Amino acid sequence: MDTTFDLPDSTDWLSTTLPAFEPLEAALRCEVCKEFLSNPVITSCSHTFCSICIRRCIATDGRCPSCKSACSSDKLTPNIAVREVVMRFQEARPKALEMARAEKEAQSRSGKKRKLDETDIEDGEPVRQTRSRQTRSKGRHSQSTDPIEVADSEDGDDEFLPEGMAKCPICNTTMKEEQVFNHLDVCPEQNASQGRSTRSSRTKNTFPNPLQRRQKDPSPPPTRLSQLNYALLKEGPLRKKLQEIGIPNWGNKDLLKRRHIEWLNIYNSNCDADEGVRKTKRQLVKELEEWENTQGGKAETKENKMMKKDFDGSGYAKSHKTEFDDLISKARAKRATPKPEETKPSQPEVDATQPPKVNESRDPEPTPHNGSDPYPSQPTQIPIADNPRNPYENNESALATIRAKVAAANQTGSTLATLPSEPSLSENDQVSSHDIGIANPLGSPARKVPMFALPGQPVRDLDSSGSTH
Amino acid sequence: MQGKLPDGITLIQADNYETWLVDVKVIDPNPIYQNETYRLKFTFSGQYPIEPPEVTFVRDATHPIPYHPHIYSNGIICLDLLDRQGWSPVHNVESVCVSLQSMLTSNTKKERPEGDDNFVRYNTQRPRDINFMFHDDTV
Repeated sequence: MDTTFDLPDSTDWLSTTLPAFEPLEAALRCEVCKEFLSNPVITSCSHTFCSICIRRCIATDGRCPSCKSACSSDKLTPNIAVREVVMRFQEARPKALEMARAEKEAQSRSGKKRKLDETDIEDGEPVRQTRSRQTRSKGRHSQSTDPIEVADSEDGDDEFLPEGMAKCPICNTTMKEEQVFNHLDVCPEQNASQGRSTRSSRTKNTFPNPLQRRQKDPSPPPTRLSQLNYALLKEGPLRKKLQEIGIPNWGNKDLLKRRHIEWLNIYNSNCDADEGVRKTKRQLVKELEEWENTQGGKAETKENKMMKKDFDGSGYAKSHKTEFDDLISKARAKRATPKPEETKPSQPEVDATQPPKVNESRDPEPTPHNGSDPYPSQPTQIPIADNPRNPYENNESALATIRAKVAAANQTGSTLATLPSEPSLSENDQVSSHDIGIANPLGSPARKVPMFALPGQPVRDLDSSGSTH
Repeated sequence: MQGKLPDGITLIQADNYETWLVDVKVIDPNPIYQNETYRLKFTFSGQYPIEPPEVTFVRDATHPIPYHPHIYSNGIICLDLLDRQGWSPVHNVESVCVSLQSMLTSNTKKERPEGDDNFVRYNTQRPRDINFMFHDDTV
């Protein structure tokens, strides 16, 4: 996944001549998703996040992620100024970053003395200057279309009016102040469309003014959807509600509820977007589909299911019997040829993701000490069997015993994940794994029936879940 | 993110969005943790960052589990920050590492939590399913 490292990040600035832009960019990124703020909204506690991020957070625990104070999603308000800043910064970023990087390269190539000079002039400029100058110089460098600073200079030009003179606000003709009111009644531009007047001011401006653009397109903001009382709503009506909205309505009530919440998040955050970039419902439905595939009903929930308390262990064991049998035979083959270095004690990391298989492969090992033996991983020392390669080859009863044990282990539903156990014990095991066997699973420890040589894997009390509950 | 990690925190492995490994060292001269490096394993769920990542210490030949009254010897960490209630989506890998680093730094007791033996032997739950009691506000 090399692409991971190509993602733009605020730290990109650190290796340029403008390291001070790192905190600036970080401030323009959402604290939750770490992306540039998209449709930023401000909470009642004055923190700003992406609309979708804060809505998801609030839907989860009703608190502001920054200060943990109680927060409600209907108190969120679009933060238009921040939205503007983020948008302009993103426009200016590539060029600015490119220049700052090139500058740095040039510096590292040129001699030390020159480098000093350069940093004095170029590096010093943006960092040391006041905030307004900084934005301005950056804007110019990156050909930003920042309308505000241009408007400033235009205003400056406009001030060059002789005293007592004024401009017609419609056609911009200069005239005496007292004439303006009379002129307004007969101004030739008076009847022209509003669009035309905007155009004329824009040709003069050459830069689009976001304020004007907004006024031009005054569609009312869509109303946000409100939450339902899921506790009071029965499954049927909820399903109907989802159908009315036009989103998938399959799944159980919990899934319906989660889907509706996510739909509210997506839909309402779209309401916080600038009109120009507001998405259509079709796009929103597509986004919900994405959610469905990653976190909703179609998400890969194999692991989660297994973690659940009501997980059907025996059913799972039955449906995967062939896989387990396969693993058992593999484990046996492995045991027949012990390789102490093969598995390290840190290996159980893998266990957490595949709990039943792990249990399966270990269950054939004796586990009579569940919950009773204080030192489960220090089995009684017994001599290695005469024929350690195939100790059970002709011992049908022993094989049957093991099979019974495996079946029993499957039935107990001991499919919970196990965590790496106390490795200090396993270290002991490793040392002695060569020359010890294990006690017979059914007999008393005193019988010391030789069974098989220990495999490389240390014996641990991994199976206690089955019998201690 | 790898550009400027704080002292003593090294990103070891971040090949995917599921599991990351980070090495943490205690920088201050705390005698309990001198000359040792601890390895943290982060497991992210699909709901990250809304849900906390699962963070445990892992042990191998060169990385022990640090002694701390809130760290079990199987690497499970009892820290409200990593619990659903204490977690906040504004946290990230770096901030979690810094928190753990400071949690170690400020510790003076070279001991395991009460009932460590029992917990380590019988626990079959994943850290996120364990209901810790956060009784100690001193760390």
